[in-house]
Amino acid sequence: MTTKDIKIVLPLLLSVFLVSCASVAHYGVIDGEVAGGNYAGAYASVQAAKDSKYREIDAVLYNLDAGMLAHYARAYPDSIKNLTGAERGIESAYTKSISQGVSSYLVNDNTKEYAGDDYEDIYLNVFNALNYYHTGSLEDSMVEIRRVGNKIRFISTKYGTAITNAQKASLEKSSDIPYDPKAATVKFSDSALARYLSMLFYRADGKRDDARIDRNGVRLAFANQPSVYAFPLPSSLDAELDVPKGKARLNVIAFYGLSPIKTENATRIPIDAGNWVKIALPEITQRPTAVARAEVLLDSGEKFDLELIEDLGAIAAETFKQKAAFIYFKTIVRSFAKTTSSVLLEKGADKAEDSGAGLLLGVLSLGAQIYAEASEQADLRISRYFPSKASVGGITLDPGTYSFTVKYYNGSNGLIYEERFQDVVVTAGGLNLMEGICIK
Amino acid sequence: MKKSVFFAFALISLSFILSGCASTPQVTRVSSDTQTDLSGYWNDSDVRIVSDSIIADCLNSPRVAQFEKDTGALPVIIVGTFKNDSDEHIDTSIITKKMEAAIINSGKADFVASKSERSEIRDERQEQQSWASEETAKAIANEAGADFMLIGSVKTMVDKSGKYATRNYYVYAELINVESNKKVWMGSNEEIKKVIKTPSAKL
Repeated sequence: MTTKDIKIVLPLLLSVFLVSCASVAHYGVIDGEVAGGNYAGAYASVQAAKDSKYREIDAVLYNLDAGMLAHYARAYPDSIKNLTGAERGIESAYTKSISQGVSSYLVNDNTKEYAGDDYEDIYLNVFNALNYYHTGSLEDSMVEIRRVGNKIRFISTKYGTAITNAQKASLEKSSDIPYDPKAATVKFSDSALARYLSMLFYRADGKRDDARIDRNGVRLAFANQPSVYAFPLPSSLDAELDVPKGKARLNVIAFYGLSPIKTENATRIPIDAGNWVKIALPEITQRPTAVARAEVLLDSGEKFDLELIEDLGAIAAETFKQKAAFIYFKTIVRSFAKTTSSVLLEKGADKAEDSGAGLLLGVLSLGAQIYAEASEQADLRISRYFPSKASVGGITLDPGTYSFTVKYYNGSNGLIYEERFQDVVVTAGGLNLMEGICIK
Repeated sequence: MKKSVFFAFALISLSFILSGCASTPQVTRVSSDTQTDLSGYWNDSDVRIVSDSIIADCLNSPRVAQFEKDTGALPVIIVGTFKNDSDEHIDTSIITKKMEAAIINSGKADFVASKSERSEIRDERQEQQSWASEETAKAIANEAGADFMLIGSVKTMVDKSGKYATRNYYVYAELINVESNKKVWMGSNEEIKKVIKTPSAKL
């Protein structure tokens, strides 16, 4: 390779990894609109950013962002379309592109099609269940809830083989970074939120036995998974199936906070004089929410608390463990390969008898190390607009028309936000489920 | 390489490239009974297999035939709820409409309008009372009451491991005597089992 070749190759490699970075600039505007409760504006902004800010390989990401913002904007048919599009994209992304796979081993994981995280794949069905409920189709809501159950069952087998293969490759490289196999075990086997919704849908459908099974499913989810349900079971749960004949039950579900994002954790391991291995891994970082609790205050004077049923942020972190283990192994293999080429070139430079060749190999070695440092970037793509918490509650009333306010408080019991529900018709025997949103 | 061979080769290559870049979708008409399994989800072939088997089962039911012998009239059936208890968004009305058409055309039973269809017809009848001539206006409260209600459901059982998934479909249909609540016929189809292999790699 001549100096002329280097001048061509290095900018090419540089351009490859620069192109591989997903744009995040547009999130500032959308985040601002979301914080101000302007969900329709946020949905319009994400739609406007579709062609310019989301690459073709980020179609799943776009559909998740747009689907959730459309849901908050109460544009339910749009939300169904986007979330279903995301689900199809996640399914089809199971078939990996060989060319993208190769470039992800040469550059970084940002060159691959975004295939969604497990928690996104699960909760898109939960929100689609709510979308279908709001459009009046309980049967389709139940379809979505069944899909949640199927997906949760398959999480544990999803990465099994891939981790074993990657583990072997990694062990051959004798990494200095300790790896704890237990940390890659997912401790999430059932969603209390999905079970709770299923219970309400079955109750509305008159299937009391199925509703009872799901109520018990909520209890089991809490009992069997203390790491993701580290809070008390909602006290209103038992009353849900104990509604006297002729009475009506008003249920409220509130979503608040924003789901976690990914941040980069970079470690550099020196392996030789002047050479190091850069390991850049994505980590789940929770976004704090000011909301500490929520309550419902009816104009007629009654009130009830909304109690936490699902910490979506905790489940995002838990379900990311297996994928993180796979990313960990792959990153080590890639990073070692990049640095090894630099080391070999450097050794070649040391041994070269011709001073010109030695200089050339030395420059190439330096270039390889710079490329490894610059290109080794964690894939930080994740949807930004799922909520972080879900709280539920209910009250048994006489059938009629009610107006109420959902109030959100911070840790000091200060009112942050209130949401008004006017003239809600509450019927006996039907499902009277209202949804509150405070994504702040 | 001779010039003419080179040009022929270039022309063939170009035609292959251009055919891959066609600006309009390529449409191929196929027979309606051609089996087209693209995604592994519920499709027209499944509807056909399920409907044909359940309809044949229903029409050959000795209890349904007995009703005509006992009463001297064809049984009148109404379509009730055909529930989608699966994990797919399936339009079950296609199954019930196929069943309805096949049973009516067989001449072994009559159907009355379903709950959702009735209100439109009742509105029309009500309109006729004011606007149609006395000779042609249809009488109100003279509807045919159904003897049986057809109900059913579709369920799925899914298993998945790595790139392999299996989908089993269970379709049930029942004919219930509206007066006595007795089930006079039950049919099921459990023939549809699909093994779906998702390719691991693409170019």
